[in-house]
Amino acid sequence: MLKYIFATLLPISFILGLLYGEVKLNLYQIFHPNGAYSIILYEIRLPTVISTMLIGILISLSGAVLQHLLKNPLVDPYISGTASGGAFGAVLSYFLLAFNLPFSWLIYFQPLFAFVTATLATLITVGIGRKGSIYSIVIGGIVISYIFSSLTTILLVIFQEKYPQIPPLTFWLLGEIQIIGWSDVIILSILSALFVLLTFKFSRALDLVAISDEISYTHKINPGRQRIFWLLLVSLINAYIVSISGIIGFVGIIVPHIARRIDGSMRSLSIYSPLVGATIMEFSNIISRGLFGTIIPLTAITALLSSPIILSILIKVNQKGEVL
Amino acid sequence: MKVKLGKNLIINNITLSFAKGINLIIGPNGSGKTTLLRTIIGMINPLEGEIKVKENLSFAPAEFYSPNIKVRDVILAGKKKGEYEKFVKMFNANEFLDRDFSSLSSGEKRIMLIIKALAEGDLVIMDEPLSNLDIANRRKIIESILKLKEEKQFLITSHELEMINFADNVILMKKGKVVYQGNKEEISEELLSSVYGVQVKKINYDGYVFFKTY
Repeated sequence: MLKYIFATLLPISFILGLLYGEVKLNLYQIFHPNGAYSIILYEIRLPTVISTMLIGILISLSGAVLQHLLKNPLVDPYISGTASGGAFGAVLSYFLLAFNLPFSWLIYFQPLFAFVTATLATLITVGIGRKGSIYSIVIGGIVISYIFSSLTTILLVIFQEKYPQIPPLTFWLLGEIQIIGWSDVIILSILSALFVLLTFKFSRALDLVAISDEISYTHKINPGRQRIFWLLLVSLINAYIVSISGIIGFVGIIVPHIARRIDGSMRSLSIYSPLVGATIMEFSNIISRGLFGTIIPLTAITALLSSPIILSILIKVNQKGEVL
Repeated sequence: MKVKLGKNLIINNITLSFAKGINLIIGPNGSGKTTLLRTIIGMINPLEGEIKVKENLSFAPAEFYSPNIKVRDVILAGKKKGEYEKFVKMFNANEFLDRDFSSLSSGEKRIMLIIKALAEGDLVIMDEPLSNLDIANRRKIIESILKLKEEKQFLITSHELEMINFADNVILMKKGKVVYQGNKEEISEELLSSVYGVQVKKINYDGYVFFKTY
């Protein structure tokens, strides 16, 4: 049932995403674009809508993989500090401007810097939470996120005096999917295809690591190496996302939670997390991009949408005294 | 074989060989039973010595995480090919296959993981298979082991001394050392009393031995 609802909502959100924005289009203009409308549609709306969905797919599946590997229903790239770490690296890369590097070149260096700091932040969080309860990772991750967000804030204040063209603080800390070109769509498509295929192919191994490290060893699967591999991949993916859209929170927690209602095995999550994630991200971004008249940072919307579900997970975890 | 974890030598100079049938490892808490099992499956590398395992290993853990995964997917997790239907039938567990693993009781979860282990390996390692189970579930597990002991080899740790009745080879550990290895008949009250540090009394009843402390 749930899967059919989202399979119906996804194309609806796609169409609505094309219609709404700073300039509202109508259905006729979408199917028969001409003049300025054709530029808006092909150069702005279409790449934005597609990349929003791809970002939704990637963040949601990242959350599903992290929750499986860390045996914790409350993690996602936002909680694990990956996104904040990545944002810090992305902002840090602006110091290259001081060496007279052209602004347009920065897009090549930014994801690289973001990857290094995203990985660092993730590993610190996982290191803190490794031996503790499920809350150790959550609390550790929040502290790490705050550290990197504060550093990002300080850096931005310093840089923006000199380089006013740098995106503002709200973009970095609260996310925004607005100005995205076709080149980003291509990279996001490759990442999404790769990530979905990998999680699908290794779904049985991921399930096993989620259940027991000991059983994993008898299958010649080294759970430690699995965790490192997937954490690096998740850091890489989210570093890239952060450098083009800032920090987008909470989607990675709630989407796997909804997708688990359909079926919680990684095989199923690798299909339904992307479906649900693309839909929720698209609707959030429609609201963010001005459905109600003003542009609202993305995380403000995703946080509000997610909070009831996150609270219900917390209550459930508390009642059972164990996770899930 | 020596195994070190952190600063402490957990297992010190032991040499073991496992017999056909049921190998039972007993010993007080902290005697190195779980560490020994983890070394055998390759989770911990020994400091010295080596482990030779020819058989296909499988493991039924005492502690595990319960994701929202269907029981069938739990049994299939890891994608090792195995005929699990036979073992599902042995435990009358067919009705559980399509249920959510996380919704089962702790005893039911343990049995599902034992089914998985039986289906996957020829040398089945079970860490405390009887802990936290009611007497009916304990009986089910013991019966399945007895039924399969001709075709599979078992390596079982337990705090239930009554398991000695079913063992073909008993390994008694204390503080990382093997204090006894051999057949069950020679396990005496004195030996158990000295290993556990409490008075152990052996009671014979109907061909079985039971142990009481006082």
